[in-house]
Amino acid sequence: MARRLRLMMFGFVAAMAAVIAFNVAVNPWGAWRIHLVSAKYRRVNLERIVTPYLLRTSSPTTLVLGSSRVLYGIKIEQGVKDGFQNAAMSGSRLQEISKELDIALRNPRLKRVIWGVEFYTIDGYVDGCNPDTCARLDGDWGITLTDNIMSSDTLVASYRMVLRALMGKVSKAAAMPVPWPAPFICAMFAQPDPPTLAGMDAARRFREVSELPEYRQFDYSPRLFASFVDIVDRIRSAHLELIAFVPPVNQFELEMMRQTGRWPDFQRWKRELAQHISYTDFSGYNGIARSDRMFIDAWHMEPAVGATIMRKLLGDSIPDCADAAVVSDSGLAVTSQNVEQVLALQEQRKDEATASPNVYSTTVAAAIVKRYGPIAQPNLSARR
Amino acid sequence: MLFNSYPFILGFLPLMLLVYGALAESRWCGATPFALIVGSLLFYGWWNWHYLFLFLFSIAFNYLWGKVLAYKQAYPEGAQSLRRRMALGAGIIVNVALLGYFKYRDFLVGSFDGAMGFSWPLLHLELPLAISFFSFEQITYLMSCYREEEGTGDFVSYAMFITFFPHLIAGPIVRYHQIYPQFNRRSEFRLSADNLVPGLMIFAIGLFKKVILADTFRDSVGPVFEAHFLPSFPDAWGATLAFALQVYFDFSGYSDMAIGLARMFGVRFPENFDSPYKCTNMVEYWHRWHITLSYFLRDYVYIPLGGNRKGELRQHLNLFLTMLVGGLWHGANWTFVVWGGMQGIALSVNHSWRRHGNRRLPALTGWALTFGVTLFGYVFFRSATFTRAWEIVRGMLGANGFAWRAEFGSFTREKYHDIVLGMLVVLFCPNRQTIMQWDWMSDYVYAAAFVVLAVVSVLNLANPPAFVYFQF
Repeated sequence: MARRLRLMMFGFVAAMAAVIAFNVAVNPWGAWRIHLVSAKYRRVNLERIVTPYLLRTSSPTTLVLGSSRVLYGIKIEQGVKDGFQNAAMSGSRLQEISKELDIALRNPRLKRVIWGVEFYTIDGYVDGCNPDTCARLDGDWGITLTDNIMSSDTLVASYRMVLRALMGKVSKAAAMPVPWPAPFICAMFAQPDPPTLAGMDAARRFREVSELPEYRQFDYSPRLFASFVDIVDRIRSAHLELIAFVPPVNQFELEMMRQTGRWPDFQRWKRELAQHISYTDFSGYNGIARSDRMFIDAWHMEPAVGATIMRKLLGDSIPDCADAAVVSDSGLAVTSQNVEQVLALQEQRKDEATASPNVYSTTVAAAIVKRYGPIAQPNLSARR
Repeated sequence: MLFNSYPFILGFLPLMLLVYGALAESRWCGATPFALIVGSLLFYGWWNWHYLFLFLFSIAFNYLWGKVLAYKQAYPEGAQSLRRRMALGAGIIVNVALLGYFKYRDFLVGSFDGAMGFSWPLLHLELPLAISFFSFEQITYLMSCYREEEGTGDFVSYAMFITFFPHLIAGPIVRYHQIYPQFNRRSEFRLSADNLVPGLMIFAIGLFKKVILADTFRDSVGPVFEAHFLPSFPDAWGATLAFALQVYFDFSGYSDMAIGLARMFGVRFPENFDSPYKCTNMVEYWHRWHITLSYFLRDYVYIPLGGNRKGELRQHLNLFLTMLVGGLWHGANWTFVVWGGMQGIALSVNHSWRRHGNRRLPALTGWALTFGVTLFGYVFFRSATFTRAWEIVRGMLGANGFAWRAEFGSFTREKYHDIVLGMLVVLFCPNRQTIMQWDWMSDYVYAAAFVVLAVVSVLNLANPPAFVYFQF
């Protein structure tokens, strides 16, 4: 029995030590400054795990913030490349973005923040911080150790990273410089990776629309808006350039806002935004919104759209293809001086797009009935 | 502290084993029980230390009440006197009242409010951890005192019996007379390879069941039971089967871990599961599912009610009432009461069939009926409301259509692959007790099996979900 016990203990300790050593050496989440396997083979699939660690160990000059629209739209496969770091996280909340900024501001090389600001972040119902994400952003050592050395997810990620390195396998997009070259963007527009919203059948599309974010219960929170302003002030105090934009929103989602009575809140948010920052507004009933091929699903823009937006925001030339022109033309520069004109234009475009029933309005109406039951008449002036 | 967490596996457990081993072999071996008690209280208080005081009060009260029961001069009429029986009843009532206040007060107030229009306030009290388990175990101690069993009155043994961390949170429900002699058997109650080897293996098997098997099915259950869409036939059956597998792997895994942990410290707990889904009738099922609870209910509810000694009709009533209590023990909700009632009716039917039926049912028919009753019972066990339970039952009967739906959370064909695999495991694989009796050929094979189970489980411990039975 004593021999059996020794073998059990030795085997367990040896196996755990091997796993830990492998994970530390490969470092798939970038938690330490160990680069035995080149970072170009890293893939950020679990951004809520990887991003907090990469923020601490990377020194980008440009930080990209936002939600999953930015994460998937301005897709940097390795997380950090050519001085750009995409620190966007799915469903990111202002408290999380604030903590991300705290870490990023320790980086002396940081010069610029590109922020895809989101309407949903001022909804009182999405206040707070995901506990695990916050623990990672706060540098909790317990979760850092379990994430990076003792998790099966990490072991699988380490294995795959080593495999990619051995095979020299880097995707074409991941090999391209950031910001992405114009010809590459046009090629992405011509042949988008599946799935795309346009390629979905009616049933799948209806399911996508049914799962759009909750807008009927939206609670416009002045307190959350104040914390947004606080983040902006901190970026300015650190003498960083802030480039803000409102990401494209598909017409299905715009209809979800409008038919549940939240369009006035959306407009109000943009108006208040302009009092504090200048931004480029890619949302609204514009050319992108009704181009389903420019969306992965009902929420997220295609990487080609994000890459074009990036070039426009940085003042680079717009790719010479029709789709890129649509994206560029959809972006409206908004300042405190012209905000009323822009909002009036958005209102006019909305009225034109909804003058008669169309696939967007009817699909969303059916999805709303399914989700809430019949809504007699959306109360457009409703305030919670 | 959860058994399936890093702080427990990599911190608390090794530390406790070290302290225990060192003390038991030293000249301070008399301090071993105190070290175990302190460690167990730390284990309990890790979750919410506020309820530690309630727990300590409960321990002190029951010990002193046991002394009252043992004080013979107070009962000149004899050990079976009315006064002594009343003293026992009072002790049991205090335990039940404590449990009732924390677990059932809001449920009762809410139910009476709904029926009679009172407007008593709900307290929304947080349920003290393990109160259902330690209340029952304290009752078994009072019964041991009443019966003047060996060892009652020894405070250290009693405190160790109640606080001993392997069974503290979610059972098995052990009885004083099962545990007391083991604490006082010096040859066994020490750290040894003879105990550590099987203890570690049993713990690893339990951990694997919980982390790898139960948690796989957990993610398929919630979306259907908690969603608002009408579940179709595949959704309803899929989610119910997934829950059956989740709750079995979860609770039997937990019980294995508890049994394994106790064994590491030289204590043998009674078995709590014995392949219940292989059963071909309900009576057998309740002898193989949560065995320690079944025996508790039999000895402390069913038999005192009269058991089968007062005629057939009374036996059915007693069975029904016993299982209602069992249902209510699981949770303060009418859905649990209905679940218990269903089990009581099924047991009564089974007993009637045994008594009056002309022939035994074929095994496959018996299994299908038993498992079917279990599954329909689970619908009420898992649903938060009767409305949802009824929607799922209707789904299982085909009233909501037979389509594979596309809604988020619906059951896909891929999820059914997991269910088929899970069912194959519970129906055809040997259970843990059988595995532990295998001839492992060599120490290397045994050690390799342990290492695979332990390492795979430990690597999947990140963000451990709580056990299903923690809420009870």
